[in-house]
Amino acid sequence: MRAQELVFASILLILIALGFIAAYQMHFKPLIQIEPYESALGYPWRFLVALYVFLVLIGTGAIISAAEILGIRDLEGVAKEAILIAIITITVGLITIAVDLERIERASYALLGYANPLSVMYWMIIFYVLELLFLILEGWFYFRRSLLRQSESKGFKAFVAKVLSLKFLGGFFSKPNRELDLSFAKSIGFLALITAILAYSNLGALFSATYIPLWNDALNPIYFIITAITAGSAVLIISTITTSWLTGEFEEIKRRAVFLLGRLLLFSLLASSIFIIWRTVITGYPAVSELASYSIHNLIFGKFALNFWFLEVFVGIFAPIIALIAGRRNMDALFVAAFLSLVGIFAFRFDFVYAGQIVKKISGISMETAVHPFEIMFAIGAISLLLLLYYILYKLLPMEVEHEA
Amino acid sequence: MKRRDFLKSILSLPVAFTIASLRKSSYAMLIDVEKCIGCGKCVIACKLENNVPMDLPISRTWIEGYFDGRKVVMNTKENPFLRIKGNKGFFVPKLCNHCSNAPCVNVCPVSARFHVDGIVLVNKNVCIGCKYCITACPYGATFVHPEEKVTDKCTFCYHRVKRGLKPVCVLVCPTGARKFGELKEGSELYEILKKSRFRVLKPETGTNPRVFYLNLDAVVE
Repeated sequence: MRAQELVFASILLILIALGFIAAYQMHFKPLIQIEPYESALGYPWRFLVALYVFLVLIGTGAIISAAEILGIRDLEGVAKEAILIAIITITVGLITIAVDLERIERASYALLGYANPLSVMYWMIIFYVLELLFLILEGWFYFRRSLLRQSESKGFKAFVAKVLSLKFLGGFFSKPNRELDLSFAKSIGFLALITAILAYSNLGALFSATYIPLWNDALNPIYFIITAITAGSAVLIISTITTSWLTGEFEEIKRRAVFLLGRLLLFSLLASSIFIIWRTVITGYPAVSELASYSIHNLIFGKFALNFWFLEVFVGIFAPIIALIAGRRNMDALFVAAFLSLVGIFAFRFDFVYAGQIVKKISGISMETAVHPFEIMFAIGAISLLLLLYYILYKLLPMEVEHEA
Repeated sequence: MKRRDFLKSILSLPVAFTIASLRKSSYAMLIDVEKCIGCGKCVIACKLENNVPMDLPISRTWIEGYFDGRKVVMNTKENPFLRIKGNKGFFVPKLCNHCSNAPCVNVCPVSARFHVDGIVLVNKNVCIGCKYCITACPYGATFVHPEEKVTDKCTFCYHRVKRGLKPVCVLVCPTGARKFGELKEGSELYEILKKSRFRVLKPETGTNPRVFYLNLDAVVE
């Protein structure tokens, strides 16, 4: 391991430790109270919910965007990245939402014995668990041939490949079967894609099924899917360009995939802007409801105006669209556009979660947008965990493109 | 049937429908806003009875005071209404509405909320603290209990009711602004509701609340 890599991994480990301390602080004997537990008066869903929505958005988006499984050959180059990113981001996303629970130790109750099939949240849990299982299975079949190839070599990577491919079990597990592996990977990948769409549109419905005017929108599920495509294509562009830059080689197949993802990003950003315009106009239209107008007023003129106009609209949509149109075949422009659109999407998630709840004022007490330092610490830890997992897995797994797929 | 009687029967249909929809289950509360003097005894008694921290701005029941369009809330030991001088106002006690069609019951992923005798209860041994019920409740009547780390709300003092006692807020109210009882034919509550013009909070949400208000100003949501 090179010195720079060691420093990079050490920094990430320190940040993960900080995130762990923050989670501990939030749940056990906190040194500083998070807030006076005024959930009914303040924001019951806060920064970690916004972060969770953002992380699972990336995971879902990566799977939908890299729909290689649907036979789009140009996306073959990023198929492995997409599976890896989806597994990691959804795992870290689920950890994040578990930390947000008041009783983290009861996180499994919805799956074990206390299910409420009428609850949208119950289905969200089911769909995400299924999606994760399907993704792991799809990944296993997709990587199996490369893993078996890698296990023939020597060293730690070979050992990891032997363990992950289950080669030590012998029989079927020790011999690659190209046709069977591909057909399993495609079938399970299709299921993963379906559950990904179900899971994330269900998350949109989870917000819709409340009395909160900014959330109560039947189009949320569709809008969530469109932003998932934006986030997924953006993350895949960033990861592919970064890893190619680090490894010093940019395969033609990956280059083609990145250009296609750029077009997908542009399309999804244009679709997003139509949604944002109409949501803002319809929710704020005088004839809708006073509460709805109040919530949208806060978003576009009030406490969230800077976030909305600068981060969501300018950084998240306008600038990336310009960059994508101006530099269609330019990798730097694609990278910048992808990064900016991710920033915009996170701002959108933050505003969506917070601005929605601002109107739920039972008491006349003015609510401030509060993000506690521990929440930020945890978020940094979670993002670091994501980066570290991606870095480790990218180093250990055979990430070369399966050309014959 | 005379035209007048026909119109009367048509107009009484919504009331009859509401009462009929509540017959299955029994308990309900009636609050006469004109009788509430904003003393806050109900808030303090409720906090003591149900172990809700006295000085935090969370409460199973709270009182909203309306003074010239300004809303002031009492949900701790301190009574803010005593500081307001020279303004006429009125007071509205609020609490969980024990909706027949309760959003909190529907959204809970672990079935921690359920109906018993028309009362919405929380199974604190199961609640995971996801706070979906808090975002789903249109009345803002549920909160996270700081010590128990689960969501909490009014239960109409079910632990007292099942022993034949009244909820503590009803018991301590010096003016009798709160009435509690079964909503069955012949009961005091039923007879009052039958004869009066009552209102429920946010009827447009379709939750069918079991907390009814008499003499409630239209400004109150």
